[in-house]
Amino acid sequence: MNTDVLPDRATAPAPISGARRPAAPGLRGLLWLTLRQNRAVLWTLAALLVVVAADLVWIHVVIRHTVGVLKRTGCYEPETWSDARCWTLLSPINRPNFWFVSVLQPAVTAVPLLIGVFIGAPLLAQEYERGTIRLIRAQSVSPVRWLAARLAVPGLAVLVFSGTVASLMTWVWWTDVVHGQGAFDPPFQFFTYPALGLAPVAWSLFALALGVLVGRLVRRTLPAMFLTGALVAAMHGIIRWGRPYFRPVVDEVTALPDRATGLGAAQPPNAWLIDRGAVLADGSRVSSDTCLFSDRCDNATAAWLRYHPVDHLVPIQLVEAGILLALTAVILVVVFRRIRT
Amino acid sequence: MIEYRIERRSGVSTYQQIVQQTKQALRLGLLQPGDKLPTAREVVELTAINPNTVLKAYRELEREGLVEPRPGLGTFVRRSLARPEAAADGPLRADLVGWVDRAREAGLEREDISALMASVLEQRFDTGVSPATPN
Amino acid sequence: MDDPTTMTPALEAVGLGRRYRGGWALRGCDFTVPTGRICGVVGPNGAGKSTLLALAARQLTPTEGELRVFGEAAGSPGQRARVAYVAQDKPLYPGLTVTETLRMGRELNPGWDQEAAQRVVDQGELRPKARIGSLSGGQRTRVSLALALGKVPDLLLLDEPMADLDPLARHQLMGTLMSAAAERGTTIVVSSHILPELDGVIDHVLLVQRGGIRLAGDLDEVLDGHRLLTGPAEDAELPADLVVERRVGGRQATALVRTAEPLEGRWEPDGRWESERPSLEELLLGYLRAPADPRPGTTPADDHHTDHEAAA
Repeated sequence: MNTDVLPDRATAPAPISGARRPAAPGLRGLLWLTLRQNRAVLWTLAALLVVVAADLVWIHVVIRHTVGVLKRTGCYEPETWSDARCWTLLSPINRPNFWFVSVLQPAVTAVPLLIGVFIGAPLLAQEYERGTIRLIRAQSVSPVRWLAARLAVPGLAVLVFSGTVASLMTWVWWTDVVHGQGAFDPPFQFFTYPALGLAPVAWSLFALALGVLVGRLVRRTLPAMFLTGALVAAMHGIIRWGRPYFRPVVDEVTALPDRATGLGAAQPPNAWLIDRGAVLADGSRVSSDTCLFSDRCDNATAAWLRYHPVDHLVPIQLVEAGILLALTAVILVVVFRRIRT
Repeated sequence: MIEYRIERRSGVSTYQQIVQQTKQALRLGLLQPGDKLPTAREVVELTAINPNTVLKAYRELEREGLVEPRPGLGTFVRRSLARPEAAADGPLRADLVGWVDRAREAGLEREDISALMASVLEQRFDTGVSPATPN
Repeated sequence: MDDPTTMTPALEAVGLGRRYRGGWALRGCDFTVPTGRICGVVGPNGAGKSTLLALAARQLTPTEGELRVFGEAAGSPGQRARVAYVAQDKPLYPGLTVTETLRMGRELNPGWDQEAAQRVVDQGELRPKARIGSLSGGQRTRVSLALALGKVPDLLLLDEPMADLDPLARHQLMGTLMSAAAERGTTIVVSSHILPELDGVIDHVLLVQRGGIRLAGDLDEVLDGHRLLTGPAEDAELPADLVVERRVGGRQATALVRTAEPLEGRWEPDGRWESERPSLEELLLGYLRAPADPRPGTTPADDHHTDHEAAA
């Protein structure tokens, strides 16, 4: 029992609190809350990271081992594979290759969408749906600082996760798949490009931010998740449509080797063929699509093709990542402005 | 220490109830000079009434000279209202017991007796007929 | 209480209005709540009580006018620490435990009083490890109030705090709130449409009706400014502009009248009329029952100005 006396409520102004805990509501406090709130997300990402890393290491080890065997037994060159013995020795490479190209690459391609839908969209939508945003606004800490912490923890986790996955994927692709045996995996393919280099990182951060914005605007978790998924997919379509223009294509005119089709020239290995067709006698160009359904190409004089060679991969990815990260920054500015009101 | 019982639906204001219950305790000798009244915080914690009401009641008691605030210590009883005449073995009480018994023999119910008592009290005190000592 | 005018009022509204998509929830509100008061915000459902509290808690921004809290027109970091708010739906993180929720309060508020918060939770015999999502409505209310009290605010804004509490818990928590007010002089603004909940608790009243302030001021002054008259029905020639509400039952009429403006010379109650000071409930019910402003020539929109002046 304290020994208080009649406090004169009129003349004794309430003591300004703060003596009990001198520390300002700093990052420690917010950091605790946001780590606690993201516990499930962090554990899930960590577990996924372990699984993906273990997979990739397994792929690398199996392919390395098989390649070693092939080299020792003189079965390394493709010409030898018609030999039944070499074919048998080669076959263990199929499973890791299949796993990498048909499972891991599509999975990693889907990662940004999943991050946007399951981490980004609920992040603020849930706060609004449950009304806990009002609980946060009722605390001493400013909503802007809260949001900064609320975004920083999952943001950092997504950065680390996507960065590690991208590095490992790129490493295995480079050392074991694209230069390896038995797998055809040019970098500009639908499921290959998004699983290489900067793409997973930039897309993951963008999808996270987009999900947060959608969640803030929609304020309801499930609709925000669906809308985020749709928007990330749409954005993927838009960027994929614009991707050829991120760098000038190589435009080549070659001789017509085959009169029957008017098409004979092929792009270099691993290049991204944008379009090709025939050069007509009057010097005009038609696309190969036109040639298929008409006889206009019969009087073609040469073939043309436009493509991105494999060394355009890095510059195109840089441009794409730049666009996505700039959009991410814009989205974050909007979200921070929105949280103040 | 006195514990106030607040009746919300009694029609008597909470502030009056505290004043009356304190005086009642003083009359019955439950509170003696030097005794400490509970702090406003203690009273409101138990009764869930407005603290300003308690302070107002204590100020009223202070104005009547019954209690005094001692800064830093609390509010203390200054004088008692207990009268030997009102004590359990006093002659006045014996008279009243006798009268109540007579009234019951005459067939009066409990409510009749208190109504009669209240009406006489009102007549004798509130109309200034009797030189009653102000409480 | 003695001289509250010398202190900055806890709340001061000037022409306060807030519009939602559906229309004005609150408009043209002028009132003051002095520091150290326990103020009841009463009125029917949908009158604008929650909007008023949310504006004071800086959860909403006014559409027009302003609402000063301790003299400040808008939220500031200093003000955030001084004001605690418990919203009507008691939002909490369902995934956190009771202990973690209090930990959140400690981490996000510099003046946190763990003991005060813990006491409120312990009183309700809540399991510390229980998840908020598994608690009943009343238990969640308790945790919400613990968070608000642990913050040690100078102004405590409570929106229908007791609605889902059992009578014992209601009494306990009201006692805890009053003790906080007694100990620290905390200003409490509590909204409710359960009038008995506020009787004996509040000493200041804001009656919100149809988005406006119908009545505002010190409770005693407001009550002293009204009389409840009971008398013969046929003789009810009361000055219409002073009657708040009048009901006739059989041969008897009951009327709630304003007496802040003197009745003398206009109407003298004769011996057949009984006149008494209305209780809080009688006063508020009288106003709430009155269908529209009874005085001719005034619109409900500027109704509160006169009332405010009359009561303050």
